[in-house]
Amino acid sequence: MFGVENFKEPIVQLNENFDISQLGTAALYGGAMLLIGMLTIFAVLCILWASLAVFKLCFHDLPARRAREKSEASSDSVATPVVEYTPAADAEIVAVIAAAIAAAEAEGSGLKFRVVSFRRK
Amino acid sequence: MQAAIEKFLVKTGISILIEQPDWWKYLIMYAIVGVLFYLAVVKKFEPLLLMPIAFGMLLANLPGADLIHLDFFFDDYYVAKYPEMAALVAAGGHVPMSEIIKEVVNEGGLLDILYLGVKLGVYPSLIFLGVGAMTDFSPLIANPKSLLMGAGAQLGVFAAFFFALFLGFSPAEAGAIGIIGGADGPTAIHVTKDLAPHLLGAIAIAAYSYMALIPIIQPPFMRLITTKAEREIKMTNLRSVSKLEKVIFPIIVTAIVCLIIPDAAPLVGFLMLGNLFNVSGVTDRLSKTAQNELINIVTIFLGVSVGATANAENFLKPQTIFIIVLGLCAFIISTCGGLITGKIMCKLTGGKINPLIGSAGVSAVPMAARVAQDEGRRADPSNFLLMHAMGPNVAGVIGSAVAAGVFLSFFGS
Repeated sequence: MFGVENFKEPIVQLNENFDISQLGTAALYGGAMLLIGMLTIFAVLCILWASLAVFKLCFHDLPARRAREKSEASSDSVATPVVEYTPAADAEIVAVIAAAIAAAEAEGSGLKFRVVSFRRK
Repeated sequence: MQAAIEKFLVKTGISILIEQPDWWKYLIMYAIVGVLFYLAVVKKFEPLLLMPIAFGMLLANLPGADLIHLDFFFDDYYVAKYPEMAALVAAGGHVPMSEIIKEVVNEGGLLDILYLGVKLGVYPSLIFLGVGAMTDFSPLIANPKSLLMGAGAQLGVFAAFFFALFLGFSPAEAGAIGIIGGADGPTAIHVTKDLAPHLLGAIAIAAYSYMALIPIIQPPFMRLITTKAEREIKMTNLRSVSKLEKVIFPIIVTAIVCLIIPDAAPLVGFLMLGNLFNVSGVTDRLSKTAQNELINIVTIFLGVSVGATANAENFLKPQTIFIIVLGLCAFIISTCGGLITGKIMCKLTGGKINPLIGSAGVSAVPMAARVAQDEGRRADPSNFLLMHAMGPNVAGVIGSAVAAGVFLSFFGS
């Protein structure tokens, strides 16, 4: 390739056999190798890029779309249950929270806490 | 009694050192060993590798110890010892590996046997197995555009090849030198043991030293090539990657890369096998072994045996200085190549990509990605680029393995 038959021999001889034309040969050879090498790497990695794009389509976008469609279909068909407000339920929640605070405050529990917000609607 | 004492004194390392005509070369080697120990222990630059390498160098330069016999691995030794080999070598052939193994087992010592793992190309592949098991490819799968930055960051590999030809290196030697720019020690060793085994010590030490010095080498060029506004770009969060994608990725990459460049198979194949162990979720024991015990053992063997190839006779030559300078050029050009690719992609995407992550395309996982993260945070403390930089970083590992495959397919035996 490019007149260099033996890859074990230098193209440029840094001794009395030095010939200026060797630099041209080296430039041609090195430049060609740089071009071939970089094009090969870009080509291989672009093929990988394309494969990953197909990946995304097959294993991410399509399953996500199917899942979305499924959830939309199920939300349309099933009526949302209406939760009715009852004072009894509210009192029950207050009792649960108060009991949890009392348990945490109890001696020997070892818990350190701070009540940040507590509102009654 | 006096004769015995004299005999003992003559056989001491100090006496042998003083009698050497090039005794000063040993002192220089000890100074280099000291610098490597300093980098490893005090600066904590790649200590897992630099320390065994430095100690291997120390062992190889102990006068009279004769711990490694590099001549066992070169044709000249067999031509001189076994006349029947002369005809084979004269005809352009090489001494068969079976003969080398026989000689090492019969005549060699521990370091010779450990060096067989380098010569046979066993260690780089096993190291890649561990690296693959430790690497998360999700950022690359989530953002496959990063592959282009990993490709752009291989520019230094071929630029160093180009310059090495002008300095009187043969194309095969120039290929081995150029691969330093891939910033990947095992890849550099894998290529060099085939293309230029006589340069292995210098190339391995240059590759690992520069990998260790990435936090010092890269930032000035990152600031030079990018603007402050570009460094401040915040990238959007990466999408989540499913397990199925993670499992299929290593299989697809192996198939594609190895079908195009079969010479890259020992590196890419083992890198992806290690990753498959990790992501499959059914081979936890194998994954843990690859990530811990196996890679640690191989790192010790590789470091010590590679360090031991750097003895005073073959290391202190003008070409070693050329290799070190060319290796630095390769590293810098690779960094710039990644950054320029990042800048182009930044423009093409309307400023959605921070070009700093391109510098991580030089491989050296994960240090190059950390440097990109640090530089991003220096520009804007709320910027977080690490996961984005991991994409080009792991793409660089694949890219440098492909570059190695290109050199091996052109110049390999």
